[in-house]
Amino acid sequence: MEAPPVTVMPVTGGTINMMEYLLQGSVLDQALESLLHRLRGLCDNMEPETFTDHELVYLLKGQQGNPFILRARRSLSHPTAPWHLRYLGQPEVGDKSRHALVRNCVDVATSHTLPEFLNEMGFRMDHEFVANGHIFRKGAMKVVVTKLSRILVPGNTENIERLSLSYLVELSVLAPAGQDTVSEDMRSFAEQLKPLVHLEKIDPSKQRH
Amino acid sequence: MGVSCVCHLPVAEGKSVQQTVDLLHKKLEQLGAVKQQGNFSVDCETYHPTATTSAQPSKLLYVMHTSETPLSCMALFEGGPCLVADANFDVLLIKLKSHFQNAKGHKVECRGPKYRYSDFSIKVGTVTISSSARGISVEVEYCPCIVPGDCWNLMKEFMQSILGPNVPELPSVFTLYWGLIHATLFGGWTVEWTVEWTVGWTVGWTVEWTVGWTVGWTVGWTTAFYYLICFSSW
Repeated sequence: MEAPPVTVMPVTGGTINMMEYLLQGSVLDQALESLLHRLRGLCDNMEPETFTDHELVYLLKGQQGNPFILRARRSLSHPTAPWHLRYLGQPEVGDKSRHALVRNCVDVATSHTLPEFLNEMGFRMDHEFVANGHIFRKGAMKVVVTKLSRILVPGNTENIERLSLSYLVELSVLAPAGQDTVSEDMRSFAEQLKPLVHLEKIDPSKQRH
Repeated sequence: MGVSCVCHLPVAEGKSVQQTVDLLHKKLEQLGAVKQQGNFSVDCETYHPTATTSAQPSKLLYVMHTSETPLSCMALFEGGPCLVADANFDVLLIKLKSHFQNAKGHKVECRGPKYRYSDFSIKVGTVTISSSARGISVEVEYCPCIVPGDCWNLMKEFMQSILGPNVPELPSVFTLYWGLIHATLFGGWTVEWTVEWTVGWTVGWTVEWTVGWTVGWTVGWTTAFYYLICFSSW
């Protein structure tokens, strides 16, 4: 898994608000090769990069309101790489004509004591899964094609079971708040992937649980 | 990266904190130490959880930064686990402000110049809380060695020559672990090792904790965890 972006702007008393712009879709397993072939052609010329990650989702239940969610991710293919901790805020409710889902995003690279540390903070693991697939880049845009697998025995990443017969496709950009031209660029790129995959704005809060 | 020791230098009788610091600077310069460009700084912020249960008393969370590794921060719970993270961890704690409150008045800062004397690096810091000078810390690092048990006697002798008798003893856990504390590189494999020691830190109130961390691929660890400063009374 690639390292999270390091924000280069100085923190001057306030917070750095990085936003994640996101479009999602899926393809059936049979269509994977065609999609990868198209992405190799459209994206930056680099060695194809695959990843195998283990993600744990932690919740901190407060006295009121929704629980605070943090996602801790580690690479199974590069065990010595740092853990990646991610906070994703609620999707911005704003301009409905905006083409991508926009939410606040904080990425932190951490040492390997992260699970124990989160437990000490009061977080409890809600669920975990294994994600493996391919990653492509086009400028600031990142395209990730992921196969998600359920972990059958907690903590055992060898014993997994595929969740579905399809791959999740995500097109995302990390940019400072206010750069709405980003979603236009994403929409243009997504058009080039049709009809292999339809990438759209999917609000996670509207999903049924 | 070497072996560091941080100790507290008591203020000289009849002198202020600044005067004692100036005396130490003069002593180092007379010895032949060369002042390095710029100052170093270490700071420590305290957070306390807002939600507590009677079954689990709340533990304070300390978050430390050091100018030696400006893009990193170190977080540790008193008596509990520690975490090394990048600077965005501070942004995350702001998001968590309803769960962890920053005790703003308790931010401890330590700033001062750095000196180099042969294989030793000496940092003399004035410790302040809310801009009020509370004491003096001295960090002595012996750069060529990474095994505390192998160079402790040399470091102790050097520290005694500049600080007098105010030199801590080597924590007993090092005498047990020194045989295990070696980094070896075999064709790209790095052996991780865990170092644990117990240090006492008195910060206005007495808090003792055991600090443990794992040093793996990030060979350039910071000495922020070494900033365990003993003050007898403030």
